[in-house]
Amino acid sequence: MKKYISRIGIYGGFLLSLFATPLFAQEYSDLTPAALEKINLNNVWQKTSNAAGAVWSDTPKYSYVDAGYEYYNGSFHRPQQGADGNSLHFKSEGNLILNKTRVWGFFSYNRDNINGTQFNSSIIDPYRGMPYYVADTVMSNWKNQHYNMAFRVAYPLNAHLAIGLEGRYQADLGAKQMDPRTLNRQMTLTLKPSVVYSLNEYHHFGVSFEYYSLKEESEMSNVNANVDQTYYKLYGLGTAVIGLGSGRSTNYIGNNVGGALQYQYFGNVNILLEGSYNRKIEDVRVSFSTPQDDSSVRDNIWRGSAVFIKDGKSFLNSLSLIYINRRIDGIQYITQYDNTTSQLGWQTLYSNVRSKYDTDDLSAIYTLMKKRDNEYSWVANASVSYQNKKDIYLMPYSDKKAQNLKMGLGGKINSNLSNKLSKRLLTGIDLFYNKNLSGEYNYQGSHADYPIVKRFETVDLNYLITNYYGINLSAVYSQRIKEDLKADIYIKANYKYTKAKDFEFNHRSIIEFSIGSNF
Amino acid sequence: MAMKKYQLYIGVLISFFLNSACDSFKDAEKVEDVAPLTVTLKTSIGLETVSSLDGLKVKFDNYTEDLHYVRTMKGKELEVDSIIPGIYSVTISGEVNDSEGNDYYMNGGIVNQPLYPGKSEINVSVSGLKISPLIFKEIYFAGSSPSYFRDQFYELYNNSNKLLYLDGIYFADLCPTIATTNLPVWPSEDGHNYVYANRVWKFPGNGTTYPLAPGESCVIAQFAANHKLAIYNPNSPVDCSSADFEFNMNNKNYPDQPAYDMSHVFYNGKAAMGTVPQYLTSVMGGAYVIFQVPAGQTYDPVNNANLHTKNLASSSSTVYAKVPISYVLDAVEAGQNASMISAKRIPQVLDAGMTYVGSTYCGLDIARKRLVDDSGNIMSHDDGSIIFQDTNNSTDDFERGAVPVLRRYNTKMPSWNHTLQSK
Repeated sequence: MKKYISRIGIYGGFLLSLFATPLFAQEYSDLTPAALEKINLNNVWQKTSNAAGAVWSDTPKYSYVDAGYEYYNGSFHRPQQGADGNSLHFKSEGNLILNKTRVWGFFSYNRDNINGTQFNSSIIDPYRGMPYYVADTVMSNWKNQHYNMAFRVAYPLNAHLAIGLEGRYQADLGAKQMDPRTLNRQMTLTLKPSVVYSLNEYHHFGVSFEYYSLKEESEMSNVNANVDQTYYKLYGLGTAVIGLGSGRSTNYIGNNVGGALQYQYFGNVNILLEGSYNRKIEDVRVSFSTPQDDSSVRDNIWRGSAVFIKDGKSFLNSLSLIYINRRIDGIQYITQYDNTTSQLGWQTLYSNVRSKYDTDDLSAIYTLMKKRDNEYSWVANASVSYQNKKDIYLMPYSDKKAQNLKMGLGGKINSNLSNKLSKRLLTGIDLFYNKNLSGEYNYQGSHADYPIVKRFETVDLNYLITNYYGINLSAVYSQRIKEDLKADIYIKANYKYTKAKDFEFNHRSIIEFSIGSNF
Repeated sequence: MAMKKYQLYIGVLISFFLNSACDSFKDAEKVEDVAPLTVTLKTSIGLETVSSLDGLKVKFDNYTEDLHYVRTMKGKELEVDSIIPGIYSVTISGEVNDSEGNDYYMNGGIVNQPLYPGKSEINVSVSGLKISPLIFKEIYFAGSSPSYFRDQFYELYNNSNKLLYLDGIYFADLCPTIATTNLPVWPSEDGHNYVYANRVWKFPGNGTTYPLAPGESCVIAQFAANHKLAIYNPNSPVDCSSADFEFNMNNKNYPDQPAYDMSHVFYNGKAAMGTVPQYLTSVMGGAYVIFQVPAGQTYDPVNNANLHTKNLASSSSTVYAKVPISYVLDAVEAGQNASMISAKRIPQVLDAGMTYVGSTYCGLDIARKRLVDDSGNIMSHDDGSIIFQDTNNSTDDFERGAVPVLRRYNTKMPSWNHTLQSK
């Protein structure tokens, strides 16, 4: 057991050693799970899109590796989520200072088995803001893999100016297991250069830019070539075109540009404000051999956040307010095939916006932490969030709306079992309740008898307007590996139960186990 | 120097990404919200003896999005508002009586016409066919589960009140085999005067061998056997052993049945049948015509170079027979499903629409509707024989997804059917 944990520590450390030999600033004597939570709560610049701000964060050195297994089941889910499923994950994260450069790195791998899904035959994540994909009615499983790598570096040019860069690379593979099946590959590459100017020790101004490139390829096929499958090409809110055969090849190509402004006041209260805007255009093309423009999305995201932290002698108070406004315009094309030799292929004649998807999210989280050394003895939090979704298909008109208010209360107790080997038991409970304020789905387009309208969109709306409540229980046991070795090992268990009160839904249960090490 | 090279490479990479992003952003910025369109329809008449199209029905059909607009023609120009931009099939159709007292079914239109701001004026030429006495009454092409296709059949019907003869009438299936947006390119000198056949058959006879009386059906089977037998496919819905004719391809595994054999005329430039072991039309739905060569004319697509051609958009050497539109008695076009109506391949003057079953190997077919009057009563000739609906628009004229029945509605079997011959 110790041998394997040491190996995990060595491999995790190897990731960070790619940035050369570290020279340390602040280090914690103990990196318990509660201490790591406290570090993350205080690390306000890490939650922004500005990597350069790390220069003015007194974030101590830390690293962790974590491996776990999750299982979920229950009827309270959206039609495209699985009736049940499981997931294996491995992740690693670390933060250190090399001379003056602040360096942060992250890696994760997830392998998901999603069982009993419907109405998705051509996209790995149908909830990522892309309404144009292919659906079918056959119950199927998906096997997905996700790789996520990220880094942040920040370097102070002088006493007032720091530059930073964040990079992310995400690769996903997805495979649907029943005809019409699909094999999907997706990658996203993100770069965020940033600058922070420090007026004095109290006032810091930041600006960051963001660019990411996204590509997803979907190749549909039938293993049983004797049976042609019925599928539906979706165009939003139940509008669909029926097809018969083995589906299609789809190419999603997206580019996003954006920027953000940050302001930090670091006095008695640590205040960090950020406003950001991102605009993405993602095109959907059918077929790789004779590409046809099918549709596009214009995706605009406005985000504003404010974090207030009062870090006193005994207590730490934190208030976090976030507002996100997302506006997606769905564009459809009029195309025609030209088989004259000079123009052979699909010609795009015209395009217009046929649908709009608007979402407003507002949330507030208050945290009160009783400090103990570099960790905490207990923490309590209260949260409230509001979401307003409004989707419209312009002509023929259809709409789908939902407004929800969710409230939560929770807390954790960090029990000191023994100072020898720093044995801790961190137990937590969260209670939440979602109240639906309004919702409706009016479909006035063609083929209202299609299962896309009657079974998919209708059931999806039912999910979005269901009142539900739930509880989340967690427990983490941790201790040092050896008295003179700073690294902690832990074992974690988490159970979340959500009970739906409306329609045909019952519950959703998620159980997770993981082991890891903080060092 | 090395540092400058890296800077150059990074600069080129960033430029590449930003350039790709800029192009897609530029295109997307210009796109506006959809707004309803007003379309101007201008017409011309292709028959000298017909002077007015007043009262004819005008339909704008976007089959992909299932949007339909119907108006009535008045004068030679029509403005239609509130159209959602898209690809439309525009049809003008209806019955007229010409200046010589003949009944014509007028049809005209354009298939796959894009309509959007800046392209909202269309010109349609309307022509007509004399109303045909011989029509397709039922076509079973989809086959049956699990993947059995030998039970296909085609039923013709005498829809008039006069005796006619099948002798010398041709049957053909057209190219493309299935509905597709990738349409062939035919010789420009052909204009819009032909359709193009994969394989052509003909009823044999000396001119009066095979009479078809009013109310009688003639069934042509791919293989005229009882397909429900265990040696064939118990899942098949049909017993074709009473079929009047069959497409005998001399397949020793499926031997010649008692039904009369159709005469083979043309396949891939030759009179010979070729090596394909059965006459199989697409289980997704093909396009079919029956046609008659006018008296005094000959039709030889094998030896007459003006009556065969290749697909000019393909490198394939396959040769197709030309069938003059003026010869056609009836045409039916079938496709995979409703949305493939946008990919129709028969000229609208022959069939303004497309029908479908919607799946393959399902044991279902298309069956022509009986004509009903305004009160919903089924119309018939004086002798009681049913009149079937024939507007030259298979979208409207056929029931879809019916369980195949030979001689549905008890239409009569001709007296020369082999089952009625004394042994």
